[in-house]
Amino acid sequence: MIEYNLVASILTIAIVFGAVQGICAYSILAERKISAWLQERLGPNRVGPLGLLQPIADGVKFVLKEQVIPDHVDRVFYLVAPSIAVVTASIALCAVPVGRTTPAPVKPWTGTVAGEQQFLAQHGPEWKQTVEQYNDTYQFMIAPHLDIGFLFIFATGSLAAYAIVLGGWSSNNKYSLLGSLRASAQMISYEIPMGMAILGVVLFAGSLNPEKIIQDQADSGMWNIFYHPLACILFVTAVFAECNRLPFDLAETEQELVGGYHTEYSGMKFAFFFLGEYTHMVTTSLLVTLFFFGGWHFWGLNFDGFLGVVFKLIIFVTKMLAFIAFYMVIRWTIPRFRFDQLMGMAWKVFIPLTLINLLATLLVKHYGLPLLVLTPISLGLLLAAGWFTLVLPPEPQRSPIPFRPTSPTARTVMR
Amino acid sequence: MDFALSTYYPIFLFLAFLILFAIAGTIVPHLVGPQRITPVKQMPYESGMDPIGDARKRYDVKFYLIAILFLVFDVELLFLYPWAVSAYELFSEGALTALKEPIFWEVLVFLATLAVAYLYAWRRGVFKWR
Amino acid sequence: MNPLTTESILHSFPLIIPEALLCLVACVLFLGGTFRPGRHLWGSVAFLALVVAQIVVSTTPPRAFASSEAARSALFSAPIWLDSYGVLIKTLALVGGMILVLLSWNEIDDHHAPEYHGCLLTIIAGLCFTAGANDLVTLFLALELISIPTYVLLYLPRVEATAQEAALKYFLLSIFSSALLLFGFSYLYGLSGTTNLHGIIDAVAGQDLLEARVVPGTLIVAVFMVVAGLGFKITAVPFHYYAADVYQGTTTPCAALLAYVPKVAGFVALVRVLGFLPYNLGAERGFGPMATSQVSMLLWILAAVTMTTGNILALWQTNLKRLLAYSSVAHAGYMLIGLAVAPHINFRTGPTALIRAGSVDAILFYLAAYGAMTIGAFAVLACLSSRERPVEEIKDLEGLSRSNPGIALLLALFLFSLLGMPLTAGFWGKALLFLSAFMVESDPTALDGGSVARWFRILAIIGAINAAIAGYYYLRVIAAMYLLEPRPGEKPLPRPKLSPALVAVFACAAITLLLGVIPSLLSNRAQKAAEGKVPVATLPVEQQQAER
Repeated sequence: MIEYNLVASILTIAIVFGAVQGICAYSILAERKISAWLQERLGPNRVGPLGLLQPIADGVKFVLKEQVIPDHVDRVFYLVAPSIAVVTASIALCAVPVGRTTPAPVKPWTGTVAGEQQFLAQHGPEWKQTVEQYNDTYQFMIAPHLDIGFLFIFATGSLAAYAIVLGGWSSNNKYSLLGSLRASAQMISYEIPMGMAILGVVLFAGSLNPEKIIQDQADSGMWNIFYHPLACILFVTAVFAECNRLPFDLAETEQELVGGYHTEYSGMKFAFFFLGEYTHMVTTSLLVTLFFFGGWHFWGLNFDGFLGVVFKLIIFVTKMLAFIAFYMVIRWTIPRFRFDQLMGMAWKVFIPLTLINLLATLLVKHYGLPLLVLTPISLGLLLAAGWFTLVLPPEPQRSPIPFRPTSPTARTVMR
Repeated sequence: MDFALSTYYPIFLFLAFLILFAIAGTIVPHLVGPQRITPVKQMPYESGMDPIGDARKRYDVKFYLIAILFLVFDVELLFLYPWAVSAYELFSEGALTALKEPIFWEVLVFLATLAVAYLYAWRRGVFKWR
Repeated sequence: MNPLTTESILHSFPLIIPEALLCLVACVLFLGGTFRPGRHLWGSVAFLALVVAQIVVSTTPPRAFASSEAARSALFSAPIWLDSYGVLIKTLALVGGMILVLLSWNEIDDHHAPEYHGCLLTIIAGLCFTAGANDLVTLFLALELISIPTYVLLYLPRVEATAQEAALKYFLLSIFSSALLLFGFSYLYGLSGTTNLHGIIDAVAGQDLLEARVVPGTLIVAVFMVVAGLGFKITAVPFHYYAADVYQGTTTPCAALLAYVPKVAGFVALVRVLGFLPYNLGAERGFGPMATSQVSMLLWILAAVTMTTGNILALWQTNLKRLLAYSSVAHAGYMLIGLAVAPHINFRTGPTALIRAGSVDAILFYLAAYGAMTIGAFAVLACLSSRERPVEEIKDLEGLSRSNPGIALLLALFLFSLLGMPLTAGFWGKALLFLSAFMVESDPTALDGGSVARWFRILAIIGAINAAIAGYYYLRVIAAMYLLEPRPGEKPLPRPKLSPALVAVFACAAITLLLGVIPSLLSNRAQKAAEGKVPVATLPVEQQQAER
């Protein structure tokens, strides 16, 4: 029986949560710095050397500022929404391995009680030893051997939509409402391609358990990106949309909606929304890393013992930070989409592509073709999609909505 | 692996911690920070204009259609996950091998049905965002 | 999972070819309709699909089992089980479907036609599924496959307040009944640990329980919930109140569909879940545990109350569709007699009367007859009614025999059949049901001390009284057509042109007359179906004998 270790789990929670908060704080600084560099500015450089103490100053300011609760808001939901944002974003960290992990031992499936007894009779001692060995190794993740791993992450991740909807609605501000509507439509639309993109990976691993998926990649030495490049691209793009990052930040388009769903928020509650968003970023970066980039695995750096633990942690965190940096560079590279383009992309491009990709993966798996066949298929699909968009006749331009002077009785519909 | 509720203990622990964190984070700044209420500060912020009417307006039915469609596809995803996990683990050996082929074809039929629904929605203009 | 089980699951696939075909064509309709509207094109595609499905159903030979071991395994593990009962129900469904397609041909505009017929095909496919369902899951899926397209169907043809109200009412009550049904199913599953229908009956039955004639309280709850959930579909009395409003609000073909399809589905499902189909696999096998006096009593009360309420409420109706709605409630009551009787017409005691009348087969016969005459009556209304001169009230039909003698005769035929006049299908339907109630024999060893026979004679008499009450309102319509002059100033109803709907009327009339004159056409087959013989027909002869 796999044992539960309270001390280990409290320790892991402390480390992981603390580290993620730190990363969030400093990635905000990094965001500002990178933006500045890309725009030939200096960025924050007054608080501490190179502005390194800026996040701490920000944090203190958030706490000490006046906490305004406007008169017109729905108080309960207004107060609850930021908390939902931060809780749902953080709870997903439970199922993400952050350092060295080993998959839990699995008893072969027999389907019957008799079969299980027979197995125990034959392999009882060995089985016991394996389990004890597993119990003795420290797993660098909050909830190890969680079979539903990814399902849990996606489930909690999609709860984030509640924070945005409630925040926008309860603010009773037109900008907030529009922002939250757009954000929720966008999040639910991109959740489908995101979930479907990884189905191929899950199909090959035969498990939703993140430890197992990393272990598989480490064992073969081939990261999933080599086999599923299209899935990776789709997943990463969907993740951008899920996090409401540019070019998908329709929820808070500063030029048209002020701050989007958090227009009416200030102080710590505003900080919570941001914290949730950045935690989401961290979680999704970790996800991409462990799905497609081999998690803690790197060729030639596979040590045992304490050194192994340290190295694996470093590898994992480096990959994640590289991905966060990628987020930030993308932000200043691609301009924001229009809302119809955004929804069209989810429903008319991503979903069919992920479906076809899944079909291709399924065929390869079912007929036992060599895995490497998938790479050209995947890339071919990507190219075909690109070619298709060039060949297709351009969408007719939107006809401008004619201006009608509104009378008090006219129906006004918000878009 | 045997199912053990203890797998979920850390999640409950973390959840409890997070909820406490969130509550504290919401309440403490209110106690610490200053409170200077002015009428203008309490108004909805609409770029400096005085707001006209309430924000709880009717909005486009498209959002509703997207939500419905999302439900359809999400439920379909929920069916595909258990399949993806078990199809080639459970049904590749032992007594269940005979079901491997039928399951493959069933999933193809499932995806085809989904594709039909998808194309139908597309043709009916659900994805057309004016 | 042993190889026999896997095999029986695999062998279920060929059994659903007709349903799969219908669903496939429905997909084609949904998709094709977005490219090309047109009621003639898509109507004929739908009709053709039903015809092909019927050909498949009637030409498929019964499944050949290698041994009775394999047959038993299939019976207790396959999700689909197709005996001759199921085949007969499928035929009823498909023929009904064809008539409904013809009936709605011109009622729907070109743009909605593909979706309408697509939904209709899905509904019929669901009904076929119900006929073969051998598992709670399959059964529930099949019933939902009927319900969900029905909601769409009710919304499609008309955009006006009454139709919307009808659709919404049906939708809300139907999902409520589905919830009740699922609740009952979950209890059955909890009691027996299996979702297989025969498995449930065996597990809950246990020979001891059957002998002692007592059932655990949870079983009563389960059966109660299942009967309630399905009672909505068959418009049994506490759940009948939506019928009149919905039938009145929606279009005539939709009303015809609502009067027929859910009833067939409900009765088939009740017969299956309550285990009223004996199945003999070599050894003799009695009815399920549900066949206890409590359940029988529940059905007895339901039957008596349903027919009485339906008939009495119908007396006050002036709207034709409301009248037909309450008449359909009453007919559900008659058919419930068959269900109540089913546990007591035991093949162990055997039939003793001159005419061999069962109960499940009587229901089957009645479903066919009821379908023909009710759909026929609705079809006549659909043919007569037009936008300029709608036929809604009884008084709209006044003097029909002058202006339209042919169609008046046909409507009179259907009404006489509904009334139960000899030489029509309705007569034999009622006769078989009432006779089956009369033929219940008392079992002196039973706890109730052998009063069962008396109770069922009372039920038969209640049925007969009801049939007499029903005479009043059916004859009222006939009298309006034949005895009254056309109202002055009112334009006479136009003569309907030859249209698919008229063909549907003729088809219904033909079935009504044919079954009325030669009932043995169907009743023989129904009896064979209700005997519950497992089709081990292809066994070698000596093995069959050994098993006997």
